[in-house]
Amino acid sequence: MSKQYKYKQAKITEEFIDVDDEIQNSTQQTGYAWEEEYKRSWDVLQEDEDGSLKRTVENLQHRKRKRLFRDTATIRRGIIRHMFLIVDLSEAMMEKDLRPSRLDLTLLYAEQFILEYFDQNPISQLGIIVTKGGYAEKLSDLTEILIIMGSLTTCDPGDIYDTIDNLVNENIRVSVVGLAAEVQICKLMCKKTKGTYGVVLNEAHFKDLLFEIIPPPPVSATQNKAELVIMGFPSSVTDASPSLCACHSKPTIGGFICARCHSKICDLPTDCPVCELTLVSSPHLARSYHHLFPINNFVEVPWNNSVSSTHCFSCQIPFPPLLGVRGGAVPIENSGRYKCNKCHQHFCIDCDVFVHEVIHNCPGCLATTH
Amino acid sequence: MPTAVTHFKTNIYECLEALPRYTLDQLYKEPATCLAIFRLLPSLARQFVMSLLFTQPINSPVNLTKSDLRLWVKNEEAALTKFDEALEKLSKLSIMTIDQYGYIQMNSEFRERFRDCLTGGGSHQSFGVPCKKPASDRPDIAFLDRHAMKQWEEILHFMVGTESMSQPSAAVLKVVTRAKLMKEGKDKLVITNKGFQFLLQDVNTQVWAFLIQYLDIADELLQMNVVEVLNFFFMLGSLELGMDYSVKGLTDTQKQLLDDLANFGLAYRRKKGSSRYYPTRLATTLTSGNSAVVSSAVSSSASTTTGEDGATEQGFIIVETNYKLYAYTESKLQISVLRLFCELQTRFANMVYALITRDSVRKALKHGITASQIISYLSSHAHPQMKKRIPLLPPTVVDQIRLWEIERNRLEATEGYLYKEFRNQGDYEMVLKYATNHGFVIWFNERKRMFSVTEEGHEHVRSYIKKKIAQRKTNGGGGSGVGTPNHQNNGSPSILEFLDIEDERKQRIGW
Amino acid sequence: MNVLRDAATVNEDDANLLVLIIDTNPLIWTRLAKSTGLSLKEALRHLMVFINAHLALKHDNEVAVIASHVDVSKFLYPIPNPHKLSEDTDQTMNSNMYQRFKVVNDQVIGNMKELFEDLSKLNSYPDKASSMIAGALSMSLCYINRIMRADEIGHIKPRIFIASVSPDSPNQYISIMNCIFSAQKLGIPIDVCKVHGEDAVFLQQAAHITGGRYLKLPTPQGFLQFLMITFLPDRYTRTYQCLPGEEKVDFGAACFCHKKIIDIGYVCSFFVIHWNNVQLAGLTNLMLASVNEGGLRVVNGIKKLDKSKGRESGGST
Repeated sequence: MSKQYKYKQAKITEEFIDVDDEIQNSTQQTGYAWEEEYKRSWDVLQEDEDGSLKRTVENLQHRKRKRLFRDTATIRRGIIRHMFLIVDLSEAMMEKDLRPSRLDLTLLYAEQFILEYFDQNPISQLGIIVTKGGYAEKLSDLTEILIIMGSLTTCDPGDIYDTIDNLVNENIRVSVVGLAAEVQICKLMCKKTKGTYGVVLNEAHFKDLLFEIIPPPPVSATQNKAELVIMGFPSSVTDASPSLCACHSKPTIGGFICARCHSKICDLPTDCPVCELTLVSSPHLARSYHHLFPINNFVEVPWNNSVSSTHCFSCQIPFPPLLGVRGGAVPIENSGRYKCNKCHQHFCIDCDVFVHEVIHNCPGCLATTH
Repeated sequence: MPTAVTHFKTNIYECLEALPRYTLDQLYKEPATCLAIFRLLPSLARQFVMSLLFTQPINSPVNLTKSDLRLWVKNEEAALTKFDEALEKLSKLSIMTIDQYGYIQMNSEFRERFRDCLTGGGSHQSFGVPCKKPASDRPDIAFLDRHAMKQWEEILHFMVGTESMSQPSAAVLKVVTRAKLMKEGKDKLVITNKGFQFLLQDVNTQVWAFLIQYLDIADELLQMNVVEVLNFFFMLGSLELGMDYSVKGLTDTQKQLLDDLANFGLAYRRKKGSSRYYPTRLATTLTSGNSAVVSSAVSSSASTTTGEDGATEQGFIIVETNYKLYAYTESKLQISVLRLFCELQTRFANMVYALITRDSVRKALKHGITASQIISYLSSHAHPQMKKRIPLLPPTVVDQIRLWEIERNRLEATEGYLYKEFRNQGDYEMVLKYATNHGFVIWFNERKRMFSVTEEGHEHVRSYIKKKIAQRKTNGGGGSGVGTPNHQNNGSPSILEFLDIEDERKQRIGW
Repeated sequence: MNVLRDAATVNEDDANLLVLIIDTNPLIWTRLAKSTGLSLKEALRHLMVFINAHLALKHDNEVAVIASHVDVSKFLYPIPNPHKLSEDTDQTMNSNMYQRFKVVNDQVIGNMKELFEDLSKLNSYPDKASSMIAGALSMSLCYINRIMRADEIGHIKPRIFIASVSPDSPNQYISIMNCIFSAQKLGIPIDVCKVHGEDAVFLQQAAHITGGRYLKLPTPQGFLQFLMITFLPDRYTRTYQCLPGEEKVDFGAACFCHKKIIDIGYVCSFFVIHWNNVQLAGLTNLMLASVNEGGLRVVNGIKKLDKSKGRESGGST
């Protein structure tokens, strides 16, 4: 009886646990952050019968993996993006409903967002605009807008509907992450411009919403003009003595030579300051691929099929041995083995996560011929 | 951790550096010794050795000058400093020297043996002779760890003066007295300040410090050959924990040595004169610095390595910003070490709760323990949970411990002479001005008409005053102005009423 | 992701984890042995000394060895259940060799022999020219990930060394690039020693992007010497060292068009993914297809225009 009860409790409480910056599955949320009591991470830890925390930890790991399931269907994505990140700096950002405050958290996530954005979109551009006291300054024309908005009102000089129509005409996609509550006009704007609109529930959900925008957006079939962009692949040079670069007019030794006008620039990717040719290097293009091929999700291997493997295929860590049910020991819920359906190799949970989040290669498929 | 490693390195390194070249050459005959000494070198020096090791046949010299070698490092100041340091250490250990033509020569003995070490050639048996078959009742690693800890802690307990089980062996007594870790007390040996410092070191450093002292004794008292002793130490460091080794192939000296080392807990023998011996973790980690904790991550993965960490090397201390200290330990020894600088509050079954206070730290400082030693003890024994934090220890606590140390040093004593009881301000100012101009004044107080001067200034000031008195005497003829120290003048304003031998007082001036 | 800490800062006290990937393509090694006199067996002896030297540098240095074979990539060391290599004989222990060296060397050589036992499969290899380098790289990254996760205080500094003989395999382009970017993100340098044959462009980029070293062996006989001088230094030592031949790699679009150098091209701003039937072989050409006489030829919606009309860049499909 008590065993069952304990187990149930573990199931319920684990939904609230906040371990590191583990991202929570938003659908499992039960309420808003301010409705919850102060969370103490040790409250949710449950000891099992042996006084060990192992199972709780394993359940957590397992949940982390669930998040990984991704759509691996055929889609078409744009790899050259021009995005504005608009950050609301109005007074509403001082609210502390997100910890430590809306603003602090936004800045923290924005920093991570930018790094991740350029990792996944290496030949794209990103601009940042801040809005405050009724002013916003645009720096250059880009084709996408992401707004992080804490305020519930907008401050529009003209007719907002005209503005939205202009956005639609210019093919500018607008996505909004709202920190307060849903705002009808934002919802409408995102819908019309084919962006996404989301209102955060808590800190982790905020990050989820923000990072959803990083992967290159799918392209609808009607938009299918397959626009071509002319690009140069400059060669790198190392001069014996420093010469001036075209971008900063500073003496440099190393650099790249524009393929069209032969002016010297410091770094890639960029637009040539002289002839405006887009200059990239081949690894930049290749990097665009990096996140574009999701590999098939691994499936969990049940205990009765797991006898064949003793260790993880890729990192050689030993798997938990098959435990007899006798002796009263409760077998660990899952076998700790995850299988690629293509190559049928077994992997540990860490490799599963690592392979899907970082490498994007299945070691089993690449290391064997089947 | 880094402090611990450097400690060990400098100690054994200094010991080797002091050896004459001939002895070093003898040492380099053993590949195990070559490997151990090689690992003591700085990174860059190790790389130089490796780069030149296989260049040419053994006998032909390396055709490189120092400036050729310098081309391998970046032309930056930091790199060049490292380069010079590397070459200096190499030449001090006579591994690589520069001959009179400016060419770099690698010690041919070292070169040959170190090559053997890497390629597995030769028949030197320098890495211990393993037994053909493991003994049926071979002790497991846990047993060896327990044995090592028991033996070693017995020595430490003896030093701390815990109600001890037994008197340690003669060799131990010799070492502790010689190393001045303990001295003759009223009826028994008592621990010295150096001994307290010793207790705060990590085990590896302690063992080395002990062995180096032992080496001294071995040379002088036991007539052992230094080369044989050192070779044996380094060989022990290259052995595999938990394996059986045979005493076959050991020299008589080394067999004798083995008995003593078994006493220290570095090796285990079933009984004296047994043909097998088992190195303990104290021995096998000898040449690896204090590594048991850090390498555990990898060692659990690689199939070959050593298993769990030795109990003492595992960190167990948590320090909070409010000066509270939690130590997860049951060991009496560790608790008594903590007591050196903490106020123990509560003791639980597996944990001790203590406070770091001004008094407790000052007590430690009085014993000659330095703030840095306390801090390095705390950081090297920090709990794994603490080690994840940057910085490891709370800065408030670290700073405060240092401040408490500085606090003791804030009084500085200067010998000097105090001048006082001037009759009037004019006289006072005149003499003070003279003394100030010559830079003799240490301290002065105008209101009280007092000042003090340095020792060397005293003579000058005194003769100046005497001169003045003499001047007044000749000028005024008694009635006015000039006073003598002896109050001979009848109450007239005299400048130097005070100047009497009795009034010259040596004063310690504090600030 | 925060488990994977920044690996950029190195200290003298750090331990080093070296993952060796040995390209064991038997066909090329046989040919190489004939033409240059450096057989796989001989090369392996050099590599063993190299491994020992790495282990000798520091007591807590670690090593892992992966064979990149023709049909499989496989761990040679460490493996979870090592065979007891001739337990009963005197060979298990040897007083003339440091035990750690011996364990590693015995296992690597023993497992290597096993790899070559079944030569009958040789004819069934799908791609005889190359080896499974992408698989080996993926495995080594997973292994490094595991070690780094376990090492909470960031004491272990990993790096990868590839001894390569096989030419680049276009099939593996995307997966190799994936590994390279992952390694770059995790701060793991990839060193490459091209023992034989043409420069491997993919691996050259691997070394360049990850901050590793690339060397094409001028004389196979001096293999060991090059290993010791160029590839042995750990990451700490390298911050003070400069080596001859650290040149810049040309990042022309050579790799995309199979060594056809393009200066200017057209790139589609959208990218098409056919996940279910990706033609990996065609992928390198997907991005930049060739254009003749100034006209555009569309290949999967992506085109490339040659810089000057007259210059023929030729389709490489």
